[in-house]
Amino acid sequence: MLDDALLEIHELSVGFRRGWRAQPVRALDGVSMCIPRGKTVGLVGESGSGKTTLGRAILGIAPITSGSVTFQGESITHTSIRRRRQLAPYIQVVFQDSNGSLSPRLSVGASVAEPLRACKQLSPAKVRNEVDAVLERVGLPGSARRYPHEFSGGQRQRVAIARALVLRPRLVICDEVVSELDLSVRAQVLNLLADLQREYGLSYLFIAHNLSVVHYLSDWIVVIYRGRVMESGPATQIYNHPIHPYTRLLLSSEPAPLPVGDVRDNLRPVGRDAAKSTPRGGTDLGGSTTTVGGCPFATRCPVAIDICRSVRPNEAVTSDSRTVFCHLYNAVAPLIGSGDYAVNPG
Amino acid sequence: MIGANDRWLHALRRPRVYIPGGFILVVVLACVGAGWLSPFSPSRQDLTNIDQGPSWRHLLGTDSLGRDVLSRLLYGGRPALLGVAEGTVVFAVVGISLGVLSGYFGGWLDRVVSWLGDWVLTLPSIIVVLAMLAVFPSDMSMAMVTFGLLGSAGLTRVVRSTALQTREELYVVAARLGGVSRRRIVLRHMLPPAVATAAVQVFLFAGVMLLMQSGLAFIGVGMSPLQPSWGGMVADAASVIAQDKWALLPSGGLIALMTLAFGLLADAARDMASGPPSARTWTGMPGVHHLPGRADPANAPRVSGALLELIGVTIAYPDRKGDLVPVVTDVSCEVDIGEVVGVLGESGCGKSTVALAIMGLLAGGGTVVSGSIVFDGQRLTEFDEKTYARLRGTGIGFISQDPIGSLDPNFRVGSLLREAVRAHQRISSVKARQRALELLEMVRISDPDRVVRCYAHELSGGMAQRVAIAVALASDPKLLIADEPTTALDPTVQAEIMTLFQTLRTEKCLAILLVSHDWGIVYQNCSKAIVMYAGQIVEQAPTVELVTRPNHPYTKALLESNPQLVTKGRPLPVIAGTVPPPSAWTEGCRFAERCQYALPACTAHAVPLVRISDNRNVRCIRSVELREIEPDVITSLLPGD
Repeated sequence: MLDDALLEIHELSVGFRRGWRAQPVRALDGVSMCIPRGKTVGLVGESGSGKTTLGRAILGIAPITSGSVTFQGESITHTSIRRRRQLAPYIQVVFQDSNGSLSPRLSVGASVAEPLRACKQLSPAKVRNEVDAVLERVGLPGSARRYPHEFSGGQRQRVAIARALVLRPRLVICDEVVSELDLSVRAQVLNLLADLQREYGLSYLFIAHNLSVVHYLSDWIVVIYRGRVMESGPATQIYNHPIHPYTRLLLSSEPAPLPVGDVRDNLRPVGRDAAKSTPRGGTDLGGSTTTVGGCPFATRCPVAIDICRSVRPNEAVTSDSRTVFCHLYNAVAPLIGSGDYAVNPG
Repeated sequence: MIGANDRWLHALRRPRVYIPGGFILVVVLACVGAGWLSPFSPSRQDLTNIDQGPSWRHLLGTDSLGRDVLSRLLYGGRPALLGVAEGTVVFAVVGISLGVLSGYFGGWLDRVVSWLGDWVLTLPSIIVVLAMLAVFPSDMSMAMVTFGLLGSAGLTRVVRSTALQTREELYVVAARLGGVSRRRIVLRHMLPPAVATAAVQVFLFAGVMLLMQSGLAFIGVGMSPLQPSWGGMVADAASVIAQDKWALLPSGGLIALMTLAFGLLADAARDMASGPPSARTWTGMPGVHHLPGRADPANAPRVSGALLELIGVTIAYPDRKGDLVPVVTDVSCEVDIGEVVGVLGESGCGKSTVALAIMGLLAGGGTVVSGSIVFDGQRLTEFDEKTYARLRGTGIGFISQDPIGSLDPNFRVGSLLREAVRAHQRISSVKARQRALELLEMVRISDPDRVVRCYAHELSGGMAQRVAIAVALASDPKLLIADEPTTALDPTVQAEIMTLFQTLRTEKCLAILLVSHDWGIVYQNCSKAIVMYAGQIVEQAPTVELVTRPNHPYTKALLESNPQLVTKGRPLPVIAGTVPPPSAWTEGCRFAERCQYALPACTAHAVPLVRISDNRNVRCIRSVELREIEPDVITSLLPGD
């Protein structure tokens, strides 16, 4: 997938400084990934894993300490404000909080028109036409003169999508765009995103904490934990046959709404009562126990061994072209599918 | 629809705005038009007619030189109001612009502005102004501008802190990422909220400026003593106060009224900045009220042995006019001891309203208008607020969606828990401390000794939710109402909380009413569930039957739109449209307009909730028929049985 890359991230680290002598807190630590043209890359992790920071680093609003971001062959790791403004039409963003991302003082049409006025020299009549057209495309025809508070959460999210799309970007960063929405509305927005991708050949970086949602929309999934990539690979492979213990923990935490047992590897004990009594992979104490050497997941990992706590795992590429960062990969891989490996042994 | 302009118009229509605003406007116009309005020249003396009270010839009397007070007031208002305008405009322009710019751009500009501001704030402004007047006598404008300038340092700080917040608002970030120029962002996004915040300060400052100008005129600096001025008139009146008590009233009274008017406008500006008037104008008492007729034991509905029973509960909220509009209608269900019951539905369907009604916590004038809520044999709908408070402390615990927000940030966890324990148990503080640790162990917190010393913001979301559950358990409740307890949490943490619920259920026989919109959560944790749509129960069934053979089209549609159940690449089945608001509810089936199976008959009459088997109820006239003709989509997804 590397040859048709729209955006490439190489060994990216982001650090936030707290206090002026303290060591910067590493929000991202050597993350590499690539977003191909017209495809969706899903980024999954718990809160605090650095998902949002990665999106912000691409947009140039997070302090990058090392590594590079390349967009269409051009390095945008540290660009001038001027160049950023020139790039704005190509990279756009939709946020999680549709309420906060639209100015309550502007009509929806004015909000959507804003990037258009800023980046293109168009007559007011043309701007109005474009805005009406894009609002109609997201399913809100004739609503340009209304204000955000008159819309429901799902509709506001459509307006935010319209604003991102009005410049016909190449890449849209979707930061938890559906996590606040109801099931039925979530389905509407997901369908809309899929349709728009087909129509305009968009690429998405789809950030979410919910693997099943990410899986539905993505071609490729990257799982991160505490600022490091744990596992990345083709969406179906990751979803149906997760290798990394963290991916497996994430997947097994999403309760299935049906007595399906599981179509995926025996990830979840079949039957409701089994699920109830299963102990989980330890509690994340939330403290800043950033591991200096080892795997950041080692403290919660049910299968961790000594080396996990001291040595940072290397990248391992599997036969189905995914990347796993786990010392146990070699030990675990042969067991996949044989039924001997579960997230919670014993 | 309420646009920005409408909001201003709306504000102008309120008496708190138009009375002081109109008063100031009239005074300003009168002073501007003093040339036409005043009956005499302000300096025309009539020594035969001094210190007179009001008369037809001199409406406000005459002063110690026989000059007409009304004319002098009108002319004297000119320097006073001009001074106020000069000072206030400088104050507002400098304060707002420096505040917005330093807040938005930060960096060296911010540092310089803050440094200058600190420096200016240390200057005693009255002494600076008097010193300047000593150098440039009778230059009142300069004095007022200096006042404005010195005062603006304080405003800059206030505006800067608002700007720092606005700057991080997502819509400002979005505009920046949309390539909008910095100038435009400052003008369009940063300025309006800054002006709203500053308005309060500006009006208050105008009042201060008026007093300042009058004060200077009173002591006779800044302007020629021959020129009429309000302050000068007060000074004149003061010198003859022993002979003429009336003299002080016109000038002193006008200054007082003007200052008061500015203060009232500042008040109104503060109210406007804190949001449009909305729910607060509602009348009616919060809490649960029961229709008198229903309390009659003769028609009291039967009471089963269940722990919690809702019988035909209808909840209404007053609309803007004060009429009660039902938002939840005819909800009946039961929760047995140690049972976990799920409540499903989209937002706006009334799930949380039902939960709050059980707790007696309906806000904004919401009331249970009919039906009854029976808990542990007691009819809650007859309770007064006091009895309810006791019940909330002992019988029913409540867990909200926002765990961190539900814990008081001012206290450590230990103190919150001790308070909860001692609220219903008279025990020593040592014992309470011990009980607090027990509770934390009960919710599976591995190091309770550390957690009791933490504040809410030091806890992760999952940890905070465990603490919130511990607080709810402090009173040994029999029923826990959990309103979307894990929606804000990560999936892994959610799974842990759900495991905790199951443990509590088995160990303590705790019944749980679990409000959620997540099918997985409800399926994995509840024995039965209620599906709500537009304030009604549309289906009620054991969860296994509900997810494998949904009988109501809404249940089915809601289940199908779950991305977990769809083959990747195919469009997700959606329910077109949105939940209708209570004002749009019709007599017939409320789901009909979004339902793919709807017939004309669906909307003709009210659809009753029909019992189709021992423990299933459905509100659909076609449920039987649909079950037969429609191959079950959900069943087809199941792996070969």
